[in-house]
Amino acid sequence: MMATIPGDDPLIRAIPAAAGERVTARSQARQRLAFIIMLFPVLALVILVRLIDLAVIQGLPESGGTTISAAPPRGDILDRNGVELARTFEAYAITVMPRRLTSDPEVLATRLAAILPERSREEILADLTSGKSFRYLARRVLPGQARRINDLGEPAIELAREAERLYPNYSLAAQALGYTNDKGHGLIGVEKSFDARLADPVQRAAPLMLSLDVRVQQAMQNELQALVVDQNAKGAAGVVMDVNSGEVLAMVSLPDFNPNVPGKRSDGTAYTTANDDGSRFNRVTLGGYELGSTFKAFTIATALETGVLTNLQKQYDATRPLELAGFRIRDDHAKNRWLTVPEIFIYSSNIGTARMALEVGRTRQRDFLDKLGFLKPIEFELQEKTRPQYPALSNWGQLATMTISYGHGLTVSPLHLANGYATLVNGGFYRPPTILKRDAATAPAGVRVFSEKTSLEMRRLLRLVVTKGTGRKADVPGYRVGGKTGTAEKIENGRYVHGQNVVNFAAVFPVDAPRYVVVAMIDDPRGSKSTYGFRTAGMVVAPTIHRIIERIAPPLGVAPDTGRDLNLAGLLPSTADVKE
Amino acid sequence: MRQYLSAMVWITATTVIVASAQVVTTRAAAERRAVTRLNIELVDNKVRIRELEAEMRTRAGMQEMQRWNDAVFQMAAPQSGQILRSPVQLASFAAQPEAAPRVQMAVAVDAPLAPAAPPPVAEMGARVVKTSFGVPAAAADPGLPEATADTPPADPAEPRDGGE
Repeated sequence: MMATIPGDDPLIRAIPAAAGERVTARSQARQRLAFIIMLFPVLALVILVRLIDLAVIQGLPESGGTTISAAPPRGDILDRNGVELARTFEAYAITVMPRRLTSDPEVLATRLAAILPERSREEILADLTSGKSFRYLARRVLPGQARRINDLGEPAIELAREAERLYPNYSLAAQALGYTNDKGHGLIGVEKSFDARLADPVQRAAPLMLSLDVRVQQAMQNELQALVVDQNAKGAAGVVMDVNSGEVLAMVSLPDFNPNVPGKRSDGTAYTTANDDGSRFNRVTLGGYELGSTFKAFTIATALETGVLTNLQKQYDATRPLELAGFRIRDDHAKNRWLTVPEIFIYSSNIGTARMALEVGRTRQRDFLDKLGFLKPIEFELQEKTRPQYPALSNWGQLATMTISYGHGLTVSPLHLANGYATLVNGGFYRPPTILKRDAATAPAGVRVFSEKTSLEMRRLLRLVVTKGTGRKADVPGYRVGGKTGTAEKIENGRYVHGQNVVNFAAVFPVDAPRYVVVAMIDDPRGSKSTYGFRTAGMVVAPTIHRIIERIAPPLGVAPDTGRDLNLAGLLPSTADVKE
Repeated sequence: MRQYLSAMVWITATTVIVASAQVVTTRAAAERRAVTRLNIELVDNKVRIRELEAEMRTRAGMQEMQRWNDAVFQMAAPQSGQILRSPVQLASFAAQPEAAPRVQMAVAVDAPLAPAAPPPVAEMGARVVKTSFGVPAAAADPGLPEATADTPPADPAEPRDGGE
């Protein structure tokens, strides 16, 4: 833009102007000039401000993403004490393009076999001469091996860096953790449920902390594995749960698998539909079982809560088996007399429990089972969840009311059972279980199902079973264990399998101030020398519960105290013991 | 003349400012490159640390520990009776002074004990509370023994009760 001063313009000079006009024009010109002069520093100031904004306020631009970041390509998974359960690191994969090989495959195969001991020369040679455009020679190769292969100088062999998921504890909590596919997406377990969170570019820098405790998990897995071997059983399941927060500290499902090589069985063979042993099946959440007598605790609690039982000394007729609609309910440890409620519980009387359930009635029974979460899939983060099987309302007659009262005719998962027992003993609050670590502050308040009084009475009864009843082998001196045994016929594809049982035990400790529920279940025990051929829960599972509690209580900070116990006075008329 | 001088001053000043700005820019770029290099090195090291940690934790995984315990250590969980509730309980285990057995010192000597030696510990019901090792009778004498082949040292086979 050109600034013209009116006085200097020859064209303007030619026109005579009045003196006043000339003065005005000059003053205008000066103003414009001043304005333009002012414009430059303002412009410079604007640029300066913008520079400061770019350099200081907005800061340096995000640099390079994955190349300059130590954040793992997928978030780590830790246990409640920060021990790694799953982590991702970059490993080398050796790939080959067989069509572009320049050297002699025979020689190359010999050299590669010397570097990669896990593959035979013949296997490598088969890959090299396959004529395909691309083959993996090896994955998860150590850096040293990768360097030696690189030194071979074969241009058709390439080293690729791949994100590899590592599970340092092998099969520990395998079904709960799950595993990922080749593309790094979770297929089961936590890896699947929290796939988005673990893969999220922002969130993956922070590890995902689970409620599991590897020490507890290892103790339980080890003991259950020993039991499965001893009993020649088909499998086992176990849960340890914090009764006050709903956190799951251990979740064991046997047989298990090694998530580092999820496609292969422990003997190295690949999984097929024919040889799948169900090791990837999470029995704790996805398995549906009739859990038998462990359910009697809920029937008694419902009777106490609804006022059907005002006194535990109320007696029920168990003199003879109960017959209804061609169905016969009988007792395994038949006393053939009238039994009080504590006697019904410690002798595990089906007849007594069924009579009690008839007094409670179908509606209230169903209502309480619903409140305990037994009529719907468990509220839990993992996606592998079973849908409980129970009769439709139209079919839920007197017979169903009676059989369900002692745990037959209703299938739930072992996690349902553990959470039900937690509700029973923690003062009566239902809280959904979780696999994520919860702070005391974030634990939900819970929904009240049973009163404090009912909860206390149930704890006394559970303790009585362990001191005087079928669960005596589960007792650990000083840890005040309470619990209940359960045995039921196994169901497969909706049918009972004759001669095969599912035996389980639900334990609580310390029962005077409950902290943990331990549920262990074993699928089809065959009896052994150590159990004198017995296949009942009291003989098979109770000793394992004893060992598990003995192992997990010290690391969980539960102090043994032989001077403390619940007051069981008045529950039994005299010292009564029950024998298996 | 004055105008020229002024122009020269301006040109010189501008040149100096531009040159020094250039120096600053170059140094800043060099520093930035160094920082980037350091960052890359840090990330490399972190990745390496992760790899080593992964290896260590795999080797020290719970199942490995269990295998070691089953095969070598064979340690069992403490029984509830082995866990004490308070220091007072620990103190209660301390023996009363008058109830303490007679203190017996046992000394291991180089040569085997003579078979005729009486077993004083078992007979007297005393408890060995302190042992010392490897002090042969001759060497225990004050002063260094003479290193002569002619005079053999005192018979090391002779047992020493040690006394109280």
